[in-house]
Amino acid sequence: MLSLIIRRLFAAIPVVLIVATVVFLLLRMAPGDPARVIAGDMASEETIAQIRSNLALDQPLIKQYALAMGKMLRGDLGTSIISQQPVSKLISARLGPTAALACTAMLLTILLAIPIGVLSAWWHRRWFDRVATASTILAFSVPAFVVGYLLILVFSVQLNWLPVQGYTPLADGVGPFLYRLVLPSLTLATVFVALITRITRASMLDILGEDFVRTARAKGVPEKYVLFRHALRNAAAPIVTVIGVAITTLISGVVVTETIFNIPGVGSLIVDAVLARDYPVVQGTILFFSFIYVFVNLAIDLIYVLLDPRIRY
Amino acid sequence: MKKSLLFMAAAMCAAVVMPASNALADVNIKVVQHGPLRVLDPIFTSAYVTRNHGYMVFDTLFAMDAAGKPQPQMVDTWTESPDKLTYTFKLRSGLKFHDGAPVTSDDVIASLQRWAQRDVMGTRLMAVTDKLTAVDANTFTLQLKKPYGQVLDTFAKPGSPVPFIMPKRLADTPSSQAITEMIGSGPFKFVQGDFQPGVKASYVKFADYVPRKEPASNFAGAKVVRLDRVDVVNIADGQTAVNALRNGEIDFIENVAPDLLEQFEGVKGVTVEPKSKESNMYTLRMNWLQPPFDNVKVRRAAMAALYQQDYLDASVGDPKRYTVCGAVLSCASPYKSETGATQTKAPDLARARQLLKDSGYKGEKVVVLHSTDVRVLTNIAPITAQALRSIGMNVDMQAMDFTTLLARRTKKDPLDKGGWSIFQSSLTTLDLTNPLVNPNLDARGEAGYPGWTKDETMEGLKDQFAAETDEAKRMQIAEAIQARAVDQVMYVPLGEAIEYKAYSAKVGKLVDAQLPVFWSAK
Repeated sequence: MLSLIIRRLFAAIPVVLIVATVVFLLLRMAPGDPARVIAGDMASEETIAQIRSNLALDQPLIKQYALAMGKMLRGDLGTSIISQQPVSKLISARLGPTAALACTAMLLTILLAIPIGVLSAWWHRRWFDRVATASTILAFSVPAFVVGYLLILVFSVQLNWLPVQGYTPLADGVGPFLYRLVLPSLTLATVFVALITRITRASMLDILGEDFVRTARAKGVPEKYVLFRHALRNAAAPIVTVIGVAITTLISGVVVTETIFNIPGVGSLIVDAVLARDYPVVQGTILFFSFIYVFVNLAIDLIYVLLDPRIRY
Repeated sequence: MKKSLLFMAAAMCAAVVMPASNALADVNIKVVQHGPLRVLDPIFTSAYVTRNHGYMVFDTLFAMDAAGKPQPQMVDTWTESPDKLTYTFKLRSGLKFHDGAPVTSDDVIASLQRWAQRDVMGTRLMAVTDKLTAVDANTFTLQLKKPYGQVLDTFAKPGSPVPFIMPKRLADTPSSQAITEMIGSGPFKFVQGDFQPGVKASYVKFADYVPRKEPASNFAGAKVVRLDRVDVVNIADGQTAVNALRNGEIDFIENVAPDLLEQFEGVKGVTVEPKSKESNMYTLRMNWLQPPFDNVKVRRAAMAALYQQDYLDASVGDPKRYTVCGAVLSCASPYKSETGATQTKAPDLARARQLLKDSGYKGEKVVVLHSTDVRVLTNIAPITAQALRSIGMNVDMQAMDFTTLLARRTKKDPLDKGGWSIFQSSLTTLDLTNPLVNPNLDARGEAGYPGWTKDETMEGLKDQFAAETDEAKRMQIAEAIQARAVDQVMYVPLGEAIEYKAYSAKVGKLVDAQLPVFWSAK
């Protein structure tokens, strides 16, 4: 297993370099001028040219690329063109809210989707299964921002049970931290609950038809052990794969939820940076996401080994 | 694993029924402005949100009152020599910066010099200045080369960049580099450690601030602060901000979108009111360098097809919330005149078509730049495109985000090489009321504001306006500026949208100012 980890980490290096290069080029090719954004709408051309020069944006592309890559290889993600703050500091300040939102959403997803999926398969074609299936179709169909606004309308504006917006760090207390994450987590989790419920149901239906399950039942094994110890464990591989994909999709998809609920996370950081053409922040954030994807995929592969002893790398 | 999962579930349930923490008990009010604050230096950038931040932290020598007249602010007394060439200013006693250092003439001079490098009015003033001299710690003189009628107006300039006064050690920073240390002498201190660019900025009351004795009037008069702390938070989504104010989670919204205003009807404890004499003017600017608008007759024909009410209905909706105004200096200006404006009345399209025919227009393409991500501009370009098409112009409306538009409008190339014909914008009337700062009246041609209007007559009128010391004569010059701007179609005012703020009772009665400032009315 250690050799797998080491091989994967080495393999990540060219991936990250390619991502960094592609992002660098795409950003420079996109129209827009960060110096103009900084200077404001009514700044003179001389002022803008001066700012561009100070920020080395008037240097040849190859020189800008060499500077950026050199910094990256030294672990320096650069400085925000707009706010003049280190990119690493900006990302680390925003990481907590995004991680909190993503983790609570994923936890909620797993807690809801797997039991519902398992029970849907067990009660195949009965009312529970039909209601669950219809609900997942509805959840897929409704965009996240609609779900978010509806939840706000009901639970915040009408009932005044939960806050409309904002984020409280965990350091300020577990209660307030979770209080502000309930609605955003539900919003973000909706489509993933639907997805993983359906995958769980389908995978369980496959496994429940296998001979070894029939044998276990014939031997008198209690049904809950049949479901959760025998069937679910064998059905887990595709579920874990989809959860891995969902984690990466969720991290990149938090921006809508962060905007609706005003959570100052990495998603809103990158959107603002793209609109302002803040090249170092966009590059740094995408690189950071690349590392996340590499690690999540590695973790998924390691979990396979734990779930299925037959799998060896 | 099971136990920890159960614990998390229980914790979440408890969290739902638990009351919110009092972790933020020290915060007096939470404010949402029109955009995120990222750049702190109000001289380095002309961004409006940074200007608003500047008014919290810094002070100015003079300030505009509600009548648009400059009043002394940091200055105690001043004299003007009989030949109008020497001004002597004495600072008020007791003025201090937030680090405890006294405000001195050296700080003032350094600040003005730094500011003047970035500002059109400042540059003009410095061009006629022989020297700025510190006589003593509290007194400085301005020696002019020739009489200049805009000295006090320049020092009281309310629009970006504002001539804020900062410590000399900071003002000595080249204007091409941003200052990040925020030390001013204004009524609020900036809490540097709490600043998160684009997320939050905090200000606390500056206990050593000495307000003037006169009643507060716009940016002038007494700046009496009754709040202990103002947290400016960024909420990107307008609906979320409205919901948060209704729920008591924030206390002030600088600018509520017109379609969201009705959500406050019947909501107790929230006041909605228009900003004082402050509007957003929609503007249309044509490219004088490229056909067809290099021809003044084509420009006049196009202007004849435009109707302000169409723009305002599309963008604002409710007629109570907009002002039809043909003044190039805006209806908020003390120099306003609507002479010659045609777009304030329903257009005579037949006449406009005839004007176009007579102009010699041969169907040249007209590229209209359409900004799609700025709320106030989204509906403007389609109105222009349709109006011009209705008189027979060949219009190509091109959609893009605002940052791309800013870059695109600098291109002087022909249309087939990425050029453009028309762009629309929205500017606060603060930046339009004086012809010397109104960017749309920049007539320096290719050296000027995009659109590159070139008109020596206009530049001459502006020079006369700047030099004129008699108020009545200045008004006549302003009339001439209006007439010339309309005749040459330097730009087309498309109407003024009244901006509305909304706030909770906790905010108290703030001064009625053109920008969100947080000192009291009394």
